[in-house]
Amino acid sequence: MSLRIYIRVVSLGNIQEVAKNNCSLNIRGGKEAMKFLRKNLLKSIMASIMVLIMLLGSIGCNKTNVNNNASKEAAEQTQKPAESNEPQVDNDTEIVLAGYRNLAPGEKDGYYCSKILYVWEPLITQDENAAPIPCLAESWEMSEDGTRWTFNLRQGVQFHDGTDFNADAVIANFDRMKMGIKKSSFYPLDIDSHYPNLTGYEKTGEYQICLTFSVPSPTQLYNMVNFGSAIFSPTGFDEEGNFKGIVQGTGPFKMKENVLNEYVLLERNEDYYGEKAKAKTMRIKVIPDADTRFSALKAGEIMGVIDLNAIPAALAVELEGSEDFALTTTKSTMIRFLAVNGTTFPFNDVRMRQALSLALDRNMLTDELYYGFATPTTNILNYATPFYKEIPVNENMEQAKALAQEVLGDEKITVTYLYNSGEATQKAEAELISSWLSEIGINCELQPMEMATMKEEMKKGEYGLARLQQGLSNSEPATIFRRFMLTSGDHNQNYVLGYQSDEVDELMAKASEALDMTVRTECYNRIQEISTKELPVIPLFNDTTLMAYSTKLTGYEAKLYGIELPQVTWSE
Amino acid sequence: MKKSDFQMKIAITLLSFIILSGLLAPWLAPYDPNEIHMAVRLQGPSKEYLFGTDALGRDMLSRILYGGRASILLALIATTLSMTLGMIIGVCAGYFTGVCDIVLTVVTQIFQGIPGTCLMIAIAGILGPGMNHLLLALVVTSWAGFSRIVRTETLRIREQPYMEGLRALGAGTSTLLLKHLIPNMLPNVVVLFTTRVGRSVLSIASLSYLGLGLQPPHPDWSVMISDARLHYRSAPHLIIVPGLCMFTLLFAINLLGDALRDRMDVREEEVKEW
Amino acid sequence: MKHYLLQKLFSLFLVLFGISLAAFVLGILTPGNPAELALSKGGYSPTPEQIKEIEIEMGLDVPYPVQYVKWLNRVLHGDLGTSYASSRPVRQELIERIPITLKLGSCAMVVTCINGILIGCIAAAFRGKGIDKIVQLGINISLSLPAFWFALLLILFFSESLGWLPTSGNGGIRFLIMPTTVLALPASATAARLMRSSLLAEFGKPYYLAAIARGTNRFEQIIKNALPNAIVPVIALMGNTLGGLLGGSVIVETIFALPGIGSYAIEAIYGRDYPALQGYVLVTGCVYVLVSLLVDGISLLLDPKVRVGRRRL
Repeated sequence: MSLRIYIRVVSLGNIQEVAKNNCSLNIRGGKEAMKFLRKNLLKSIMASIMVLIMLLGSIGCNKTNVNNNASKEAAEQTQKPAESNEPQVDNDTEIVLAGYRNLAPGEKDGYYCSKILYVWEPLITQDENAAPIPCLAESWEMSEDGTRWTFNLRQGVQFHDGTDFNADAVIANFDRMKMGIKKSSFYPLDIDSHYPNLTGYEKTGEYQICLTFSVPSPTQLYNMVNFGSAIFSPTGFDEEGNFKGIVQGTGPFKMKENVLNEYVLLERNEDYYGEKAKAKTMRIKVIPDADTRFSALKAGEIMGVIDLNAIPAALAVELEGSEDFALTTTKSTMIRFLAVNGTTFPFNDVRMRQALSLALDRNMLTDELYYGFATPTTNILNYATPFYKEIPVNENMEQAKALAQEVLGDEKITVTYLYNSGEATQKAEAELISSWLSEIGINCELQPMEMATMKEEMKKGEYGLARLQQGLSNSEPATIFRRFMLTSGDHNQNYVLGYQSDEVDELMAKASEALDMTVRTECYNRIQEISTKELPVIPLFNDTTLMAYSTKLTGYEAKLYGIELPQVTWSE
Repeated sequence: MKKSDFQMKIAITLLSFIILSGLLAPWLAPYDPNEIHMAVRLQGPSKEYLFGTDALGRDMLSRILYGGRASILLALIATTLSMTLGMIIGVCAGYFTGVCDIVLTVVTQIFQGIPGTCLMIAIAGILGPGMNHLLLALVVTSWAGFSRIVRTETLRIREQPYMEGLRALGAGTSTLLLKHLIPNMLPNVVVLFTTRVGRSVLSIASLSYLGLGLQPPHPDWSVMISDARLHYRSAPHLIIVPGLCMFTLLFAINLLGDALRDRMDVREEEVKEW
Repeated sequence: MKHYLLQKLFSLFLVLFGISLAAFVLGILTPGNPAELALSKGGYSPTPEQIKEIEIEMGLDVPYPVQYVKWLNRVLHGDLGTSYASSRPVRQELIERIPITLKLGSCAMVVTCINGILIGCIAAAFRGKGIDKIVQLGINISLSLPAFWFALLLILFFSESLGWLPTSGNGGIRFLIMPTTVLALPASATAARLMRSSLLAEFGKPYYLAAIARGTNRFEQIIKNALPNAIVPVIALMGNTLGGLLGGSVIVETIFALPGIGSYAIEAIYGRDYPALQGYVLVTGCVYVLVSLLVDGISLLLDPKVRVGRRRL
């Protein structure tokens, strides 16, 4: 046996000299040298092995520690209800929540952080029905011709950095907006969009400012809701109007720490003028993956999920019936739609867009993929606005086929369908939609993309269909109509929708001049009707804001925009 | 010897089962793998749907049958391409020595010095999804391994007395290369090929999972796992079945690699893998 | 010795050159005009004149070799460009993220070393016995588990069902256990396999047979006599292992939501953020080369007979 092996080594074995050097030369070459070496090296090797073994040991220990901790925690949790006689529930324990994105993108962002963190406050906010209500502005008044608005500011408010909130601070924020559009991951900070036709702003008292417009602006309040009138401490900007250092607002929470891509740490503002936040500290983590976020919630690492896409419906239904978790829902300001490249064949033909819309079984989509947490629509306007007009959704595959055939003949056409890679359900949705579209002669080539990239591709016109969404930065429908349906609208141009309608142009002009709200409403109604017929984009459904939280928390209630964070606290 | 025979048998049985079911998928599959039936979505295994259905009501069994085809084929093509490229360059470097050797060795060394997986992800990412791009990414990052081994082998065999003899007898360069040199290094190359196919399958799977590889609507095991991330808690069959398939395939390839290594008496560390 | 070091340095230089070239070529392969990409962020449509202007500003109007030299010059001065996505310097973003990947990588490396050596030794010591067979089977299984699948199963089991470990995120050692396990599993298997075969090769050698003849105990023989020799190739392997770990960290960081450079690469890819991706390739390449160098150094210390031409795969 040994002989055979030896022969093998000679014939096949010296395959690579070098490898041999490694293994065998050590000895064959010089036993003496090796002995010497071994004596010296042995000690160090033994030492390093010992270190390794100790390390292993320590990892093992850590593991057991972890388990102990976990079981201790579990034990504590189970004990809690039993010890309910004790009045002390430590409300100061940090509450950890998570969202999918950086809720505080930081200094480069026009707003630094989202409204839903309650760090900054706007002049005007909204109630559940999206109607404007006071926040930092206590009251307001419109001149009779509608071109002059006066706002009375709340007194006795301080920014987190100690600066007083007054008319000067507000003017400073206007000055900043005037410097140009600031990018944001929420809504662009654009004075022309929040204050269309603004001609001037001035301080008319220590706690009063006045805005003047070139045309009557009776719906200006709607424009200013939330992101439209965010106010920051004037000491927090550099010369270019960018934030320097952490954001300083007036809200019930102070931002204590912001670690990009990891978490934001919020602390109760003890000097808040209104009802103070219930929780002492909150940590909002960034967990981009929906699935991981859900796992974290179930494992008790986070107590709730916030922000858009907080939890996909498919995962939310798994929580139903659980005692440890609850869901909270409300109407969302988000509309989901398919953008179409309206500048090239076949979608430059309105019949093709109609065929597309008719071919979609939106109820199937919302009921099955979104488990009913969505409402089918063909209206471009979101159902959360007070101006929303209910228009029945038309679906008819036969009609769709007939229309498509008029345009395509018997040919089949292949289009690129872009969807957001970051959103878990969109792929299945794209596959489902493309299966319907194949029936009307459209083959879809699905391409997952990150949102920003997608918008760039669209701008170049290199797409057929793209799955997008649009939120409302305010409740003024004109914003949406202008962006999508006016020839000069930014979305119309950037998404190359190629939509043009003289009637819409006229109606918009008429509405903007109308002081009478009923005239406006009529115009808006008509535009909504047109949008469902001519389909500048193909609306799919209105979102439901859906959030999940651990029942260890109370006050966790979905609002039109986010949750009311200051109300959230540990339950007894 | 007995052990490697046994391993070989298991590996070949498993592999032929997987490959056959992939090849015969059009006849074996009970349903169209892409046909959507929302009414029966997310069903567990049943008589009608042996492996259940996915989130769009597509039959998992049919998708599983089809799901290995693309990645196995792609892995084979990619490995064959990189082997061919690696062999050409390796043999040239080893046989012709001199400047040619230095240049080629330097190029090989550069490609070996770059962490392969990272570069592969970057290439696949920059070029965007698509079979050709995937192939390019795989070949660019794996030919150097072949080249290096082939070169050393060539150097070794070249110096063998019998080669000298053949040359003295007036054998031409091409005869020497094709008839004597390459057959002699075959054991090493075959083992390397096997393990590399396994690695390629794994690479393709990872890329596809990240959304950079195979695209819908092609059914693919790793894409199926990635798609099931929303549903796997309530419907674990969605990740378990395709995962097991992928695992079995890789296991069989690894087993085959081991067995071949034993049988051909190739030293382990010469084909150490990453 | 001198010759060896010189050659090593020369090849190090070459590899670094290759990495920089690869990163640069990736930039050229980029679909779309970089000047336009850099301008058109944030919904802005640049005019052809503006694009031309920025092309000149970015130095894109000269031939590729000149561009390369200029680019390399900037890189050597620490300027990796500006991320399209965040408008922040790529260098800064990488600096923020590298520690997390390094933490993960070094944990995985330590686990790999320990497991590899320990398991390899055990398997070799009990060669042919049940334990050896189980280890061999375990090695094959470890090498066949797709990382993403294994990670999902771990989350499902340890976080979801048992609630022992956190599912994701960056934090203390508890957060690292699962990612490290996923990352280190195939690496440990490779190391253990090499350790085993390397030890077995030592067992057949005269000095070892002599040691057996001297009659010291078996455990001592392995640790004292065989291991110091057998461990050399295993340590040499660690350099390669790191390449695998860096690659594997992409999947692991994505699944476990760790904001390291692996997930940075994926974000860069989805966002077509090419400067970021270039930076990623450069950094991983350099880290890899440096660690390989370190490993070579250790091998050299342990075994001066490792000479020029020692093959690394």
